[in-house]
Amino acid sequence: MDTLPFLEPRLIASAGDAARPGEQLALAASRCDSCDRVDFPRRDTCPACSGGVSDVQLSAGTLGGFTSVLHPPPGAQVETPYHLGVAAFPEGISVLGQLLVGSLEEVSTGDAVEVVATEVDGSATYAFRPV
Amino acid sequence: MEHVVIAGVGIHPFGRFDVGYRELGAHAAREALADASIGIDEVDTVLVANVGAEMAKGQNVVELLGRPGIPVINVEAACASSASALRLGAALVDSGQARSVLCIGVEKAPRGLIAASGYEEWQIRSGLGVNPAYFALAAQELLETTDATVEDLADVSVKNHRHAVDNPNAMYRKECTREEVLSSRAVCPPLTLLMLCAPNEGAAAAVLMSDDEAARRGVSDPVRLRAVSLVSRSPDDWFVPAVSFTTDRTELSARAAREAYEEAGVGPEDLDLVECQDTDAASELIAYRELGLCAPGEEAALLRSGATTLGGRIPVNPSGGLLSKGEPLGASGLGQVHELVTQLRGRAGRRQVDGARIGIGHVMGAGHNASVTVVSTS
Repeated sequence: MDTLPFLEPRLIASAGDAARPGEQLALAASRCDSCDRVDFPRRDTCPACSGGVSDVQLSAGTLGGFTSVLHPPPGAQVETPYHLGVAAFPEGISVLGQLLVGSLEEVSTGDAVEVVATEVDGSATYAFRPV
Repeated sequence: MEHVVIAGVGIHPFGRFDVGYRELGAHAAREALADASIGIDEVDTVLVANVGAEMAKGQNVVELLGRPGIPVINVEAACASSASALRLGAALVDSGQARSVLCIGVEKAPRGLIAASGYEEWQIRSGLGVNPAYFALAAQELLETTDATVEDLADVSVKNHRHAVDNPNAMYRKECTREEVLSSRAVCPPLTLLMLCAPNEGAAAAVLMSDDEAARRGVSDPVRLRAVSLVSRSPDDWFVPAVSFTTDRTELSARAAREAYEEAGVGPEDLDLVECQDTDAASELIAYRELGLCAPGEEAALLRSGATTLGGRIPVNPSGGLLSKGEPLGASGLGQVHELVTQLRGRAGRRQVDGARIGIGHVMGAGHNASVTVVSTS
């Protein structure tokens, strides 16, 4: 499959502006130079202490909570049912994203997950996939 | 806040109606004005809470009440819109800038899931802008970190629906069973349709006065407004529409409760009743903890003990809560105030909490906002 342009390029730490579905990605986060707090999406200054920030990438974590969306929400370009999960990254931040599994039966809290690209209406965005 | 009283309350039932938001709001306002024995032309300021109507909505509501020529200020803060209006109104009265303020909350929400909850376009398109998914994740966490079960979640809905049978202002006034709740349509596991409140229509209003003004006017049965706290997002809070949270997550509602208790000089042990934000069944259990009604981990035990059921030690949502009333966003907080005042005056009929003297209302919602209101008999 061809590469797809990122739906929201600022979310992704990548040299390019496109990805193939299934390709491994890293999320573009920021870490405060003063208090070490990590934020995603990336911020220009720390919301806790107003300190300056440096870039940090989030690519592998563990699964926190998860659920399914069974009925189409307004505006979503994803076919229902689909699954959502929270990936807890060792950098100290948890992020909500699509969870690429066939059923919630396949996963448990604490499972290792990686960040990969998934297709949304002709674009690419991030999602989480069990390792 | 030493000298602010609620001199009158009014409500338009919550549900689905053939009239517009202006009529809904005016209905509640007329009732509150009559209850306080005051005319709209004697009010100093009107504050109108609403989320989804149009520009100058408060002015359009007031047009139906007369043309008093006074300031009309519109207030919006998602689920805390009413509470924000109440806080502003109390401050106007407490500071002496107004002798009387009319607060109106009104909403006529479209059917279905709430859209436009503050999500960015990419969140919506990629399927992450789903309010019930946030509630489901919080519910799942409660089930994983405490002894609460899905049956407990169902029992919150059963309790609140039973309470609503005797509330003429509620949308749903039919009892339901645990099995009916569990077998209703799954929305976002573990939450089913009957564990979630429905956005709907309705209005509520309150007239605030200084205690001197209330005495001068001979207001009967004033209720003291002792605190209205209001908090927004701190760095480590997490709710709709944020996509991430840090490891050291904090709790908005707990902060709102602490501030309100401190200002009112009361503690959770002093409360006779609570109206809380039961957007979904798990939210009510989580509120037990955040409002200090129980220790962390004892949420389900408090429910199972019957303490939060009418007749128990600390009834929660004797009105039926949002699960039964539905949630007209801009009106829900003042709807709670209507219930609290009705209870403190001993006029709640079959859903009366015996000897109710001190109560709180609690709202929390999208955009990271929470408020706790403390009222007591005078």
